[in-house]
Amino acid sequence: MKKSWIIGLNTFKESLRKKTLYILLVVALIVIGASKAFSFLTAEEELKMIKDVSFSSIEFFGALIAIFMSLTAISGEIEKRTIYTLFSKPITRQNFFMGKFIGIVLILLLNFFLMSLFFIGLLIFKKSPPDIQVAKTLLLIFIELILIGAITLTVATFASDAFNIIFSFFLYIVGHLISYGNQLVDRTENFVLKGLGKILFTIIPNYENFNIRDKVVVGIEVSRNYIFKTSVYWFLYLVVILLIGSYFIQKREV
Amino acid sequence: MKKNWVKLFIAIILLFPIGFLQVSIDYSKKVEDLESNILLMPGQIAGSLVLSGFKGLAADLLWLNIENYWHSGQHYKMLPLLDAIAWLQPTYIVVWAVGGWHMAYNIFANVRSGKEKLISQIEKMIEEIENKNNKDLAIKIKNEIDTLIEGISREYPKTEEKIKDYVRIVENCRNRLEGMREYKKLYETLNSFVNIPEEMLFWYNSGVSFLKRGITYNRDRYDLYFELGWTYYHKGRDYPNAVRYLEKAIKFPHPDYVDDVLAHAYEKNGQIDLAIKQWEKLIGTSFETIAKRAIQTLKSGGRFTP
Amino acid sequence: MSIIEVKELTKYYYIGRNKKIVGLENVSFNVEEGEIYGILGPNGSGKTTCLKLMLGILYPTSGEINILGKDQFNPEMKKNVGFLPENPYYYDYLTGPELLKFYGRLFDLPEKIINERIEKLLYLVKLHEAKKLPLRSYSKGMLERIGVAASLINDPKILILDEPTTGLDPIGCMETRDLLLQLKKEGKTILLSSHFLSEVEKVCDRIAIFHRGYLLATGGLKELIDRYNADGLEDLFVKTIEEFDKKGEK
Repeated sequence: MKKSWIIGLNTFKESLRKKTLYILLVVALIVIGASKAFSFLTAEEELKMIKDVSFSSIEFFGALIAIFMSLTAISGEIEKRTIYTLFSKPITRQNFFMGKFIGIVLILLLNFFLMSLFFIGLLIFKKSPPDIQVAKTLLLIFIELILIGAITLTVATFASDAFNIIFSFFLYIVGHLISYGNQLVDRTENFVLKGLGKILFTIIPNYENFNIRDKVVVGIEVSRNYIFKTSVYWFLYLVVILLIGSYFIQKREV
Repeated sequence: MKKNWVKLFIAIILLFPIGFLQVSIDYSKKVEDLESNILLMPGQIAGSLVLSGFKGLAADLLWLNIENYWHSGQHYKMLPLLDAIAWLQPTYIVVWAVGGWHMAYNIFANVRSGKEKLISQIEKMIEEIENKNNKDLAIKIKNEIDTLIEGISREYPKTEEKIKDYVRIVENCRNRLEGMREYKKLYETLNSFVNIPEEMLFWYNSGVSFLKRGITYNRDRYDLYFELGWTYYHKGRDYPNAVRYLEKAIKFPHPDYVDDVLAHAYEKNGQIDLAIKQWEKLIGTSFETIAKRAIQTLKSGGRFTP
Repeated sequence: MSIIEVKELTKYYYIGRNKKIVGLENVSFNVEEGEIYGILGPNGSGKTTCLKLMLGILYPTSGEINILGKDQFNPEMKKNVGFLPENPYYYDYLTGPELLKFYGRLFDLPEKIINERIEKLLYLVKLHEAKKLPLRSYSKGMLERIGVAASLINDPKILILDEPTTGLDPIGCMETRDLLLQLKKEGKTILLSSHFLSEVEKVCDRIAIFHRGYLLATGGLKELIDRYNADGLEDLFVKTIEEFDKKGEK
């Protein structure tokens, strides 16, 4: 585990040098800041606007950061051939893969922290300090981002960058529409289609589980029970993804 | 290395508890009202696909447009936007309440205020008519419609029955107006004038329908039952309906003023005993003084609500 | 038992269903402790493939590898091995000492030892002056030298070097040669691959000649020259390849 951490920190430092990261972060902060410009609305409406924009931006830009950072985490090492030296050291492939994952989590944590801080600052400035519901929303967004990053990282263990980026974006969109897909499948008569549909929609990560923003923003309270269930779902799914990535990195020839 | 396949095996096995957990989460979503509504209209699915992550944001942007239209007097353009927002975030009470208010009160009043300009134009044109019969006809129509407008905007009850009567009056005026076609300009202006009460009723009805739709998405809160009840009571003077909805409102946690309005509505609806009972509920609240006076007045057979 | 034993090592690459490319075919050789062993061959002969297989970077189709009595995937074994890849390329935002520290930590070495060794190694490869510069500003020769330092951070018993003199000027080559001989004196075993015959001639005790994935000949330099009746290493090289090609035609 210690070796994974060493590799993770190295990956984190490497990510800090990628320009894409800063561009995305700055754009996200600008968008969040712009939400304050709607001061001609009533106070309540403006607050809702700030929350809507901020939550959506943190999730969307966070997802972009997760995908872009994870994309090149492994392929970068192969292209630069630093991977050979690394594999000649007394580390296992697992150390390498988990190290990359840890690095991604760290970089996401930093970005998420910065964006959330800015958002919370805005809320405090608007005299509406964040409550536990805001915290729950942010928590779910954060774990969602980790899952997105883990999936892209796992796909990177066996597929090309080009495939990975298309697949990751596709999965991001579809992952948000699972409930709609499920409702459609429920209405179909065809037994086979229904079965396949259900299986497919279990395998595809349901990102909407982590989306409680629409409701929190209009004042609906989300129970701890729901947060707990979703967190367990997240954990199990993460384990599945990491196991798959671990399997492929072991097999991979460089 | 040999055990590498075990990882895949475990991963597949774990998909089962994940599947069951998802079912449990879906159930929680239903129970806690976290589910996204799906209206299976093709166009709306497309919109939903695009907006699924950003519904709240989209709703806000649409809301900005509504503010714009309101301030520039483009009332009809507000309608599809209100629909859109209500569809995006049906549990956002404010949209329904404000939308309903805009329609039943503001646009309603705005339409009415258009009459002043028309009246002065019409009066000028009537002066120029030489034929006495036609002149009288024009004056009569103008006066009838004017009275109707004022009545609708004030004390005329807007129950379903009464609305039918008003529409009949408007139809009648329109028919008689046909005889004035030769006075082209006057005909056109008077026509617009005759349309006013109809438009006012349209907006009142739209406001009511809008609130009713809102209720279907928010059945378990007092808010929209109250808004609708209030609209029926205050704007519509439709006391049976007012009572109906206010009674529904008090079934859920609600502030005291809801009880207050219901008490008034009972009285106006002739249900004095229920009114008294309702006032009694307000003893011990901030409405106590009013309640006591009301009970006293009602018990002695007087009228409390103006 | 030899310190490195390679037995019938084979590596095939499969393209599509039928096409098979030979990376290595049935290669066997041993390296004795304390010697400098050279793997020679033209480009594409399988030298790098062989080294990568030995370090567990590639998986063999068949065959066995024993280093220090353990197989090539054993992390314990790797603690005693240092590797210098061909055309080394590193994390260019790190400085020399930072790179060495990163690798050093992967060996579970105590911080104190790592720091001591970093100082020594930087002097050894003459990069002490440049220790504050990031690697992206290094010349090719400097990168090669920091690579050598990195391969020595764990004070390994065995050094495996893939084309260590590629891109070096004559002085650089000479310095590398001296370093290798110095390390041999310290008791280290060195396995290197190269296609620079003159360099190999000057440092290697024994050699192996590779061609198109096959091991053509192995043994001491003098012994092989006598056996093939060659005029020197270059002639030996040509003769062994000719012989192989003739066999192939039959």
